[in-house]
Amino acid sequence: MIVVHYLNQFFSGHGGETAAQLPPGWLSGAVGPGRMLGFEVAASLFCGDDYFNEHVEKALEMLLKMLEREKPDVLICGPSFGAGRYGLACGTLARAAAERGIPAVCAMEPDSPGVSAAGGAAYIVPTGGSVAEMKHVLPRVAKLAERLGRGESLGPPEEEGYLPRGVRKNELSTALAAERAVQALLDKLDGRVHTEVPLGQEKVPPAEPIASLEQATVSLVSEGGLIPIGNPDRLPSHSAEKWFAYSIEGLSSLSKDRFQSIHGGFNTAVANEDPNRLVPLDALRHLERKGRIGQIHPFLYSTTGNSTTVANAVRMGREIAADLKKRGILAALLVGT
Amino acid sequence: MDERTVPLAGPVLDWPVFPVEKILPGSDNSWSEGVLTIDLDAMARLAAVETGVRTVQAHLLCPGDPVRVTHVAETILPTVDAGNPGATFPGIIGLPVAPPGRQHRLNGVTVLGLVDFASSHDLSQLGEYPDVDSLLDLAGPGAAVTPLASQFHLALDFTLQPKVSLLLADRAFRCGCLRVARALAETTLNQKSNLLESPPSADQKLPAVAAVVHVGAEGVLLNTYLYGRSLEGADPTVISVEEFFGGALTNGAYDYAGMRNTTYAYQCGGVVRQLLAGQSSRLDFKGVVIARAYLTSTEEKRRSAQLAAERLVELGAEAVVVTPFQTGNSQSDLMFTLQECERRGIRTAAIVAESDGGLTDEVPEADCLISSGNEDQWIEAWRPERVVGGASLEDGRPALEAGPIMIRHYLGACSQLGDTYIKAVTW
Repeated sequence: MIVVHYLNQFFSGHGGETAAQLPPGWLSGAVGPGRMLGFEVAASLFCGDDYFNEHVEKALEMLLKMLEREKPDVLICGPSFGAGRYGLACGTLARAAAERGIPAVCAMEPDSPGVSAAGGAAYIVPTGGSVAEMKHVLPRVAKLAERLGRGESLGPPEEEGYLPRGVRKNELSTALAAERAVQALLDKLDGRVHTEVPLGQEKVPPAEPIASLEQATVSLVSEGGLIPIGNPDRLPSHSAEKWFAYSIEGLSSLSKDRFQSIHGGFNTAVANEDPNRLVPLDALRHLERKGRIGQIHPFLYSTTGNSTTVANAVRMGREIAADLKKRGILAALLVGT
Repeated sequence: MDERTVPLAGPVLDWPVFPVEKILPGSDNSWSEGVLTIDLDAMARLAAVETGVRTVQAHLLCPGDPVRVTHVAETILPTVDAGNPGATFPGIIGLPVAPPGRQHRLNGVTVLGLVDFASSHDLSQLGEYPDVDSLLDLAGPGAAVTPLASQFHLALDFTLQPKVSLLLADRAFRCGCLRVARALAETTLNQKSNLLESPPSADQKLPAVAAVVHVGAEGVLLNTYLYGRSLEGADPTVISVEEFFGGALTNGAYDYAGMRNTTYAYQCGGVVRQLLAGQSSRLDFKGVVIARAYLTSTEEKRRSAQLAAERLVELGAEAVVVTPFQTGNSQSDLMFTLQECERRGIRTAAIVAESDGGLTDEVPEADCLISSGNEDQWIEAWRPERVVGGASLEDGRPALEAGPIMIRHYLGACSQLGDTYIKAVTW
């Protein structure tokens, strides 16, 4: 089992606040608390807390490169206890690692900002705020890390000793959902309100108004399943997990000979007769010619929004927005179905 | 027997229930002391009687059989109108008598209708029809997730006539299944059951509770029927419990199997059965409103939600359990309904299946939600010894060696009417 450990400037032995601007680095073997984990640590990564939080993208890129070189079975971050900046770094790195298939274990206070930074991707051992707990916390971290590193699945959080990650897993209840629903309603009438399904969709504030639409590049984004005839990327008609960008450069409109919708959640007959009624490139070109908008981004962003999990929809939305932002595009016309 | 495997079709109203503890093939249909004997050839012929059916093969299936059933479109509880057998499933195969009369029901057995519409008809113009798997495993890990696996089944495997329109072919399929369900229950017509239950009269001091059941009615293969008529375009409607349980409400919507309300699901009733069971002891059951979901615009969804809430006001309900139709955008129909009820002072609870990442929509009034599972969870791989209904899954995988399968494809696993023990919890 290959284990990599991430620590901040202090726990990696580089100093306190005066070393908080330390850029990411690598050390062979275990350092600091890593020596008390009870198993071999292949490498220790470190970064100053201020450096990480002031240069998140750069620090993350450097640390992930180091991780890739090590090819670890598991990453341990911290423990960071009540330290906010350290916790943030631990949570952010752990999430990035987990999203790349490397299981990650952190340890921090439940109200540390690192918990939300981990985004449910990493396993977090709850701690108090004080480093004095170190010798009690490390064995719990080591136990989880060892099992994850060996490819084992963990049980429920309350049994295994990690914070709930927000993952909704099925289990068998002792009562039918119908029985529980009637009881819950009667309880509610008696003033005891309880729910089995937590709410809390992310609220996204609208972007600032565009100062000058006449200068802006406008993109077209649709979940209407519009793809080039023949479906070259095999976009599914439902449960899509990917989005694609298709060139519309130089096209005055979307011809039914070149584009079709394969969406499985609405009757596509009208859209396939005239794809512009699904994604109005013809109308947008008119506005472009009139100078009402600056220009149209030469790629149509497309996926299928049918039976898509909320998690996948959120991820794809983030990815498309990031791509548009990277290209300096100020506006997106989102065509829903 | 694990209490979670107890059949769901228990007594409702004062209708006799005839338990089925064993099924056997035979030269005639009969029921005696829990043993149901079935003439398979006769039932296959009866199922194929309508124009539009090409062939039907009949199979007997028992709980625990190492069998995977594919292309399961419909499930029906065998029932017969004891006083007027010709009016069973009124408006479809029976005389349009309203409300349905006293039913004799078999408990512990279903008629499973298997069909692959895509093998006989071009579904590409339907747009809405989900080309997804619809399975039932009678053993293995998939059997643990649906109460249907603990039932006996007469599986009818249909092929349809491609030259008959899809509308008529689907009708022929549904009617074939219903005819067989009636024929099986007819074996009880001259028999008596010790199992019946009369609903006591209501105590007015108990809370007045009703149910809103969302149904789908979007066109062929996506319809729900009341007395044989599609509910397309229908506004929220109050129906009696006799209509709800008695075969007036039938299914023809083959959306995701896990959340599908089959005719069997309506006949068993889920939360409606639970409300009826609580009548007089815990609550004063006021009735059922059926309302369409998956409506195509916000205005339509709001309008329907308001009309459903108004029907509840007319019933005198002070509280309601709302059950959704499938998942996705129908969760907006659900949320608007909860909101409109709460605005009228009607307290609400709802049953809902989740997807990875949460619900598609939510409102603050949705403070009492009961989980019928996460539809995106995987059920581990299992290799059956036999497959009934088609050797391949929709994506071409062999049904014998399909690997892990999402729970949403297992019939009844995430029942929106609440007849499931599956529940999602936070890890």
